Amino acid sequence: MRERAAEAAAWRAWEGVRAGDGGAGWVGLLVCWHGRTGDRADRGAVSKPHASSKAAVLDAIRAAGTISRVGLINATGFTAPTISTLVRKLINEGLVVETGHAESTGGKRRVLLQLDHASRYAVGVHLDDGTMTYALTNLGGVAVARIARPGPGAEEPAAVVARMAGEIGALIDGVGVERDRVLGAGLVFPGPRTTPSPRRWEGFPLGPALERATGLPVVLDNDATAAALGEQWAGGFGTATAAAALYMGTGIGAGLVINGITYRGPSGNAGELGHVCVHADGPDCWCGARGCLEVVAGPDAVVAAARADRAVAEAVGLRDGAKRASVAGDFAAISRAARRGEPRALSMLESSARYVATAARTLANLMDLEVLVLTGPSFAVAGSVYLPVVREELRAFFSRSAHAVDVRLSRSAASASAIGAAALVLESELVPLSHGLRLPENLDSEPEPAA
Amino acid sequence: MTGTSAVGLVLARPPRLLGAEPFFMEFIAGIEERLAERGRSVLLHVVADHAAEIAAYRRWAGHRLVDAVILVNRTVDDARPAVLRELGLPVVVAGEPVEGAPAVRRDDVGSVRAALTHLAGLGHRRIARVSGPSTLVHTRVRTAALLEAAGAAGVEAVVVEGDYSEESGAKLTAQLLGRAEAPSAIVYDNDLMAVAGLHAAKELGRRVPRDLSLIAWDDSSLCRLASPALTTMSLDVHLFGELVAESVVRLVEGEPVAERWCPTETVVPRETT
Ligand SMILES: [Zn+2]
Repeated sequence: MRERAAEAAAWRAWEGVRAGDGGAGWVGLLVCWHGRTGDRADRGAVSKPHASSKAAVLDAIRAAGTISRVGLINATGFTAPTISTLVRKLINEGLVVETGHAESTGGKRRVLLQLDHASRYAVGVHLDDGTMTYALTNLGGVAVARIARPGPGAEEPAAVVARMAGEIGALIDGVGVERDRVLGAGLVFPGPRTTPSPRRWEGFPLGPALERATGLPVVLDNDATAAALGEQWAGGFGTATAAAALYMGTGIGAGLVINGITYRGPSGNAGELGHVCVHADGPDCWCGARGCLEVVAGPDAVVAAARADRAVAEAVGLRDGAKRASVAGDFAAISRAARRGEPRALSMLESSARYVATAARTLANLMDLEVLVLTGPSFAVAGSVYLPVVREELRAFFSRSAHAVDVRLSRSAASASAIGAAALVLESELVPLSHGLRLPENLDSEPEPAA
Repeated sequence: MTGTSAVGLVLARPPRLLGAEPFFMEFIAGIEERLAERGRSVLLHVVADHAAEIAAYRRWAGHRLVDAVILVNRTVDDARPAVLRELGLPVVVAGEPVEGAPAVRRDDVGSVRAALTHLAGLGHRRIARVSGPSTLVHTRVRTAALLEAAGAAGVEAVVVEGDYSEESGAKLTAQLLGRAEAPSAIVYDNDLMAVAGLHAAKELGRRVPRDLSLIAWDDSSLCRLASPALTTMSLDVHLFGELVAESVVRLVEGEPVAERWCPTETVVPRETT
């Protein structure tokens, strides 16, 4: 698999050369692939098949936080003149700034480089059943503004897009960022589908419609995958080779980051942990299978259990009729009751947590995970109940003699998917990766020598 | 956005304190829950300093992007209330009141006394507090209350100033523990500093709570997940947000708004005291 990726990277670099993009860097990129060893601190950025050498350098600076030109040579394998040229380009474009000096280690003091966080921004939108969460992040993937609005409900797709465009515009105006510094908008939603809810959205060209309405490039993805990318962009996975974000909002999903790259699968639905079977004879799930994690122990199941017990529903303060909250809202109320010490609410969550933990162990065993980050609004409120249970379960991780699985709570769990949606834009616009092996049109032509 | 359904909240903090800490996300969740019932939302904006915060208020007023503002973290020489008055933006203050604006207050004096009583009851005679920035009004209120209560109880108290970051929590804890007359208990003004302080103390070989007791403010998941789990002050941050939202709704709907108080915090004993 690595060989394939290396080959793909080489081909992409070659295409870049032909397109006149980063010409001087292509030899360096090949060197980096063949010469790549396990310097963990540098691994996050280099092991990716970037679409251009400039992207590789920018990603290395992003991953490092601050880094010197010498550090970049070591991280990317590019030559000193290449690094010097690419860094100058990045500084001219305003993406990178020089920031002080590294502590002297005897030799001459090295100038440090870092991203200019306020130079570019990206919009992220998480479209969930009950809520649309918007985030505006800076170049570092840190949210500088956030707002949550009512979800699409029964609105027509065209009306939802118009509303979204207005809300995105207001968010950008609210922060006072010039439009030309906004790279684009990422739009993410749950589930095994390409549009947020079935039927009415079927065949609706959501991406193009939002592009027309906002005038911004639009990228679409699954919300759990976006949450994982957001975590990766913010440095939450460190230098792990195999990491995952376990996302719990109304549903449950997982986003996978392998060698620093999100793994989506051919249909974008890789990591559907909510539909991993945790009970062979369990209840039927809406997905058509039975005993899925989501139907056995997801927020919906917890809320149903709490509502089925009148005493619990009352103690927790679940409301009925017109004031009835969304599943996520009810789940949050149950979690807060558990935090206040309501024993029945706590035991319902702990029971859910055991199933979630079982599925997490399955995921960790399958992927040989080094890091698992719990994220999403439901973990934002109930993480203190779930985290210890998942940690405990992962003591039984199959490869524990080789390494442990570091289980953490995300720092931005409440808005993870919206922030991740913005990171999707940052990645696709600034450090695009080449996906898969793409053969050049004429396999028999001789490569032209690099300039 | 219709431009008339958002309530603005600006958080001014140094850029290295990334994003919003758990306290504020829980606070905002509480506000959102109440505002959503009225079709309103919270526009959260994170900026570097008060100058940027004031610029945001001017922009919001100019574009009519919000119809009220929630003012947090009152400072000693606070330029913001005058600007908001000049702009005509309705304000609800979360914390110490501003003339002409309704406030939702926390009983910092009562809370500090509760923390001190708890520690004195465990036999501590020399305690320290790692505070938030002393430019914040509530930091000063807590400091004054602590010194007064400590004096009355015959307890020696020192206050060192942190900035809410993990780094300052760790550094100041190590400094305090390195003193010739080191404290036997430390109180922190937030959760991040307390968790970092706990790590620092453990690294220095202190057994918590046998050698050293710790109390965190802002009970968040971080405190519960720490090992040993941190004893905290019990503020219900979500409820604080709900109270603020209720005041906001009354204000923008033109109803009279009285000053409100969060319930006085009590000590939630866990494993660090
Ligand atoms: Zn299923």
